[in-house]
Amino acid sequence: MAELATRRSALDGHVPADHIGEPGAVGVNLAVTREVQLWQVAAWPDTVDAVAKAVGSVTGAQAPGPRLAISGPNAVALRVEPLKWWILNAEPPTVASEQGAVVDLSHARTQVTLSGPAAADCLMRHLPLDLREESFPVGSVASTAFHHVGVTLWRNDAGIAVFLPRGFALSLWQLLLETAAQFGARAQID
Amino acid sequence: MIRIHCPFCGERDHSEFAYGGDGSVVYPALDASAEAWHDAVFLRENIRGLQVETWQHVNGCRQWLRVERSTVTHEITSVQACHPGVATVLESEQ
Repeated sequence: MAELATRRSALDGHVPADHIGEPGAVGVNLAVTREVQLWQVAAWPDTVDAVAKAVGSVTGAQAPGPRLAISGPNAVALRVEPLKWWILNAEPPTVASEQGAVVDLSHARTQVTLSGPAAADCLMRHLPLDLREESFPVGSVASTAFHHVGVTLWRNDAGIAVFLPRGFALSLWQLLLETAAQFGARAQID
Repeated sequence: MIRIHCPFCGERDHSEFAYGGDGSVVYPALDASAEAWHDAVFLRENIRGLQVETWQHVNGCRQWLRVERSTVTHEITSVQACHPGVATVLESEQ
């Protein structure tokens, strides 16, 4: 039974240890986060202010506005939709059902963070977004389609984090590895 | 390529959106005649010029949007959230 209790990433066993593609170059680093804790906090149109306050009380900062993430002293919140926030790696606030809804997405998304000089180029081979630093700076959040699958992106100090729906994670990961090979790449999971 | 200026996400490619349909149709009451429902469901103007349409930003913020688009030039003159409550939230945050 212990086997059942052990959390497994959708990409466990699919992360190559060796250098990928173009010899000698590391244009892209792909880092898979094994233990993601992700909560979605949703509001009704007339309770947005109250739920924003609840989100802020968990992160210790103001709740982010459209297309933004704000890192507080306690946690990070991403604004993913007009009525929805994501809280990363922290316990969610208590929200009464008249005010909104809190959903655990920890097992629903697989987080991959791309860094290195060609990280944005690699992703832009697939996404219809301008991810260069001047148009997608640190703290930016966007949702878009990756090979017809909805994904959410967040640029932070470590690189560009991509949240892949778990069921599609392996397929999209294989596409990412194939694309990263032209720049030279390394992958890791931790 | 059509680009739609989503009130939440900003300017985005057509590939992220799904077309809904004619946004100007006012549906009759549930107990209205079959004829009134037939007209609302099937009869459409073939407009040359500015048309009101619904689009869903399905691979973005997932909102339904009311878009005014020219069928001649593809020029989009206005975009807003269909849900009046969401539209108010987005206006207050601009």
